[in-house]
Amino acid sequence: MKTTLLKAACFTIAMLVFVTTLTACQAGSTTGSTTSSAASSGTSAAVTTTAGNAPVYPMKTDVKLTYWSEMNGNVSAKYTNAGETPFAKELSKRTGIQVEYIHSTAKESFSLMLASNQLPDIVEYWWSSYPGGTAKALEEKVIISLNDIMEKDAPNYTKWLKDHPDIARQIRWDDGSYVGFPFVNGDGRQTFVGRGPLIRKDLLDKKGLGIPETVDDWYNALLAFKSLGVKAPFTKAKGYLADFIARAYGIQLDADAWYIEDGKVVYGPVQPAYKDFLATWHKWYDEGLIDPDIATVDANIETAKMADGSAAATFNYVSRVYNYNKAAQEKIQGYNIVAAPFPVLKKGDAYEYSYISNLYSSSEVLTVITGNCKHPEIAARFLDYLWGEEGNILANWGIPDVTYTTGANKEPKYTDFLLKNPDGWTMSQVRGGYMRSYSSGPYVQDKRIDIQTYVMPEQVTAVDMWSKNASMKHLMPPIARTAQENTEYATIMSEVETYYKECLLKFMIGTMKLDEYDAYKAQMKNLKIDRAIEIQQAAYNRYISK
Amino acid sequence: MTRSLQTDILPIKSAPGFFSRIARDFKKNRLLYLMIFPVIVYYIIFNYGPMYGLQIAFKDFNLRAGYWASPWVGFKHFKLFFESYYFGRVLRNTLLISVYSLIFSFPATIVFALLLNEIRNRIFKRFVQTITYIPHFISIIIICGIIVDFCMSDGLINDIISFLGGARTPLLQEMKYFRSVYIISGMWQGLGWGTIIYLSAITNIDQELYQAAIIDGANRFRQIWHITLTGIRPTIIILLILRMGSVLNVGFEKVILLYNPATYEVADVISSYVYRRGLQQLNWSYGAAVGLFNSVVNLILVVTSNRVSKKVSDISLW
Repeated sequence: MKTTLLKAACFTIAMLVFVTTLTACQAGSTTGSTTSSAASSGTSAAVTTTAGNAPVYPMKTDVKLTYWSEMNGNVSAKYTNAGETPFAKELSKRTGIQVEYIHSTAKESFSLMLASNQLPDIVEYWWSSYPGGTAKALEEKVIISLNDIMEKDAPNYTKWLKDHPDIARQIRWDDGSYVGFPFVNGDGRQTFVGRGPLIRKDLLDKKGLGIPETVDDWYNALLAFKSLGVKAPFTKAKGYLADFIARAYGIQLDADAWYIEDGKVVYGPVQPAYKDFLATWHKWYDEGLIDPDIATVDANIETAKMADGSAAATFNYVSRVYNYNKAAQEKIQGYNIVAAPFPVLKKGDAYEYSYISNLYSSSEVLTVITGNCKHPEIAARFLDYLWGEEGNILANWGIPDVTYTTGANKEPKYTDFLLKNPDGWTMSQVRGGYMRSYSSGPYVQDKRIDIQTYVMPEQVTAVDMWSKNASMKHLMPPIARTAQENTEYATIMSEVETYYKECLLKFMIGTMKLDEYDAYKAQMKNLKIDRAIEIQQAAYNRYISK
Repeated sequence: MTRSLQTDILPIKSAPGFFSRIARDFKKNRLLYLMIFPVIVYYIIFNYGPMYGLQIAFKDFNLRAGYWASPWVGFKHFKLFFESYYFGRVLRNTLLISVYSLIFSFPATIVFALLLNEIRNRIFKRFVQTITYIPHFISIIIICGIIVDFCMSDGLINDIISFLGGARTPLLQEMKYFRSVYIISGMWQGLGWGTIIYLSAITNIDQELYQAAIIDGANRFRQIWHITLTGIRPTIIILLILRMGSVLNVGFEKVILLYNPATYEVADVISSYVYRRGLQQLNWSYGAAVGLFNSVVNLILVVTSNRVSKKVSDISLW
């Protein structure tokens, strides 16, 4: 009796395990099919338009679009899906088009989405990182170009391009294609710089020093901090390690390592002045002026060190002036972080190598209509809304009378709902829910939005100070490499960048001595940096002659 | 009734074939087969099935063309990998980290299991076991966060070093300390958990052997050496052979969380290198090619060590 019961039990368990395994397979495929059915739904694509090109919003259509984008931290703080935000709801209400938002947070998930081959209708992503570049994506029909449907279904965008021929020239591909809806920094933001060196003014005052202006001033200031017992006078999370000092020497590194000198494309880490910068940087590290653990510092550690006083200078966005001060003033008497100007070599020199960016960059986020979209005209209309006047205000300022009001002079002004949210939301979180201006996206960013969010007047003066620079002539415009060049370039650069990062740290710490610099240069040549410079120069020449 | 001599010759049956043997066994042990059936299905569906995807290692994988229509490029990706400037370095780092952890943590686990076995007080034994098992369950991300913090110039480890009179150094920025930090922290995390299988093997040892040894005058050390260690010898060898199968698989998560450009020279392993180069550039074919290379090498190592073990000690996986 007992054995038959036992046998029956074993059998049941085995069957359960088997069935569960199969169900797991099933569950995976069901979610897959929901997405694809959503993408292919739309039995009646009834679109009402008036005679002439003006679209009628809200449109009367049953088509439901799927929209893939990365979930931004400012949105995920309060919402689980972008579709829940008041912004998305308002947008759908105004355009009359229902949209299902799909997200993921890790960079790798973009590749997962591509690999699953169930492309949603609209994808907002940094398509320049697609293997082979955006050109390849178009070639492979993963994304489509807008040229055929622009005039009719994206009239706002078309008009904007006509009104801004310079930027249109940058956005347009060499072969005349327009692909996707880009992110554009609004007029007047060319030289805008929102981040720079931050330093403890109270400690400077203690030693009777003024705010440093030259590289030597910085040296003295950091020495002074060290003598006051600060363990890590200068610290910074691993991303932008050395950049702002290097720029005083005319060297741009990391994200801006490619720039222009007199019409020639140059790469910062192989410029002659790089050696001088390395010498200074190594000297500072040797004397303990730089955080000894700097290679392992991440964003959280950097914030902690600045707030508890173990670091006294760093490099960051102007909003940190307010954040750091607020966090630390309770614990440390007189704590005062201020923005310092970008250092130069000789007092009075103009600052020429600043952190400006193009109004349009091909490596910024691009919102495309994919090859899988069954109703590209509807998708184009949906995205086109943000390029009209009303849409632009929605994207930048949010919902009328909730997040902004229009003053008597027709200038929009943020309300206290955003600036001092009654429920305690941060400004970025309110933005995340009610507008798009918390990050880049398929719209034109209004230059006026930042100024209104600066809580302290010091922030405004800081940004003004940083934005006074003569860097336009060195700025690398949005050049485009061909798919072929791209593959070669990517292969070379992945090795070059590894080598550059390694050597920068080794030179700093002293593992590599400065007299090995020639070996460093030779090795760079070995890794084919010259070929990469050639490729970039060719792309630049093509851009100039467009 | 004639009896033909020929009919006395019994018909010779050929040795039962593989399938008939299975059929007979199945009738006897129906439930066992039923139990293992889902597992076999799992392996076929999730491990063997996707193998057709390996072909992208020899192709230029392209999303729209998919697996079948992507163009063949032969060994292009393998060549790219072998000829890359850092190939030698990452291969060397991978092998060294694997070998070092084999040399240090493998015996350490065995010794620890033997020591645990010697504890008489049951409560103390349970206490030690629980404490040493816990690190295994902590996520690697948290462990690395702790390690980074401890290794900083003002972290715990440096506090101890300076207390003992040494100089403070940022441990994770120095090439000479990276491997030690990596391996020692790995040991700390895995030591307890790894003893489980040895402890279970030890319980299988016949207690009479110990009594016989005591009669023969063996002290505790001799008992451990001749009985316990010999008793778990098959387990040790099997685990060693299995370990050979993952020599090139130094996982990239821990390396990526602990390394930085200052230590690339000793820390960059095949998986972290390919991660930067393959995944971040969405170059799946490249990643697949390197993965295939890894698997082939691991397979050769497992088969070889299995054969060697068979010759030398009669113990083998198959």
